[in-house]
Amino acid sequence: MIGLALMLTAAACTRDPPSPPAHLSDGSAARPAPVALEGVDGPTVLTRVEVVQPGEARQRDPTTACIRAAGAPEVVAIERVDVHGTTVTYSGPEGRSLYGCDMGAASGADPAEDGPWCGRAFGLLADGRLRDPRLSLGCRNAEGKPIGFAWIEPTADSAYVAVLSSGYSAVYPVARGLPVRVGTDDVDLETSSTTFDVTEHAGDGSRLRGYELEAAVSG
Amino acid sequence: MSTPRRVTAAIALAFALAYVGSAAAYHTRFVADNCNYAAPTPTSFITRDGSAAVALRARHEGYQWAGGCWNDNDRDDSPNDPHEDPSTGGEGGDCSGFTFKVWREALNTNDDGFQQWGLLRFVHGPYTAAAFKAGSGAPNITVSKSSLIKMDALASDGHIGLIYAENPDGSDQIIEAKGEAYGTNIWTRTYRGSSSYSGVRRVGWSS
Repeated sequence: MIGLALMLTAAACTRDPPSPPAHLSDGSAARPAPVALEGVDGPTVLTRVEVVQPGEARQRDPTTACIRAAGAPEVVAIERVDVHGTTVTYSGPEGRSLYGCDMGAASGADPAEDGPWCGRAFGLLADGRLRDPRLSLGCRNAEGKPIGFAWIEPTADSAYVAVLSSGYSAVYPVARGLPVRVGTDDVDLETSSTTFDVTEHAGDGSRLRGYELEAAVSG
Repeated sequence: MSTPRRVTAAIALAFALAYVGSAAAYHTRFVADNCNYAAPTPTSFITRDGSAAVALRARHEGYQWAGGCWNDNDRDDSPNDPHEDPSTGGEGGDCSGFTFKVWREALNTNDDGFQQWGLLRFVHGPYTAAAFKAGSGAPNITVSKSSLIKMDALASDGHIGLIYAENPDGSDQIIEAKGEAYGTNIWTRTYRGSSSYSGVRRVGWSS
């Protein structure tokens, strides 16, 4: 009996950690970060980012739908794809606000009304900084689990933002100095909140700072 | 600097430091001492008058960013919280949390059923004002502003208020959690005429 207990204990102790996801939410293959990130242990998954120019956005239906719904004029949009979904971020008039759209694997959105976007985000800027970390909870992943998105504001020197997840770290390249919209499926629905475990890194991977960001649905 | 001026400056500095220190450490015990996480009671229907009655109980109870818990003593028990800080633990809801609770919505965004939340149940719900404006979630739809009636909502990207009554001049009496400096109350607003605001309705009213 004792031997069996020891064997079970040993088996439990040697259980493999969760594997990092093999694909991003758009089905593309997940790749590791291009540089080693100081202080980030375990596998990394590089998320995809694309800067969509104003003229270009017209040709891209989902992003156009996101921008059009906010009544935005010509704007540069940051489109991101991570393990949990796709997001778009763009600045409002005169840089006083920030807009976003979120899409999960199971959007639940009305395509006729809002394109594929299941979440809308808005934040006020004060001196170019967001006034609060606001969580959006409108979307779900392929398993039907709620996923949350929030903006992280990296320092000016940051090239990458790494967010610790289960078994891996999601790595988001910083683009155009705009806040980085990050996702998670680790959401406390009772409090409509989550905590992001974040590190920021320079282009060579050196660690600039690390912190926990508590984000709640608000406003 | 003369001695009286030095004393005055020292006193001013002391007050300034005390203020900065208290602001940085500010929080109230309202949520910790009064609020709960009790399960909501499912109900089979919702009426606009009943929903208005729920909303009126939040009147004068203050405002809390990301909050959703209040009593019914007609005063803000945690006045002057630092704005847009979800961790100050104060009384009241914010605009979207107030709407969620008054509309008796569920935490599951796929659920359009009715959940009766206690006043002291701390809950904000999964919707921001922007999400309400977009009609996100099974219980919420966008409708034309001309069709809005009592307890429908007008939402912008950053705010949402509920129609308590329509005024003859086209403005509305809006019941809303407006902000820390204002609390939750009824005000005459012209949101309906503003291009920033859209009409939003909770589905499933019985009357």
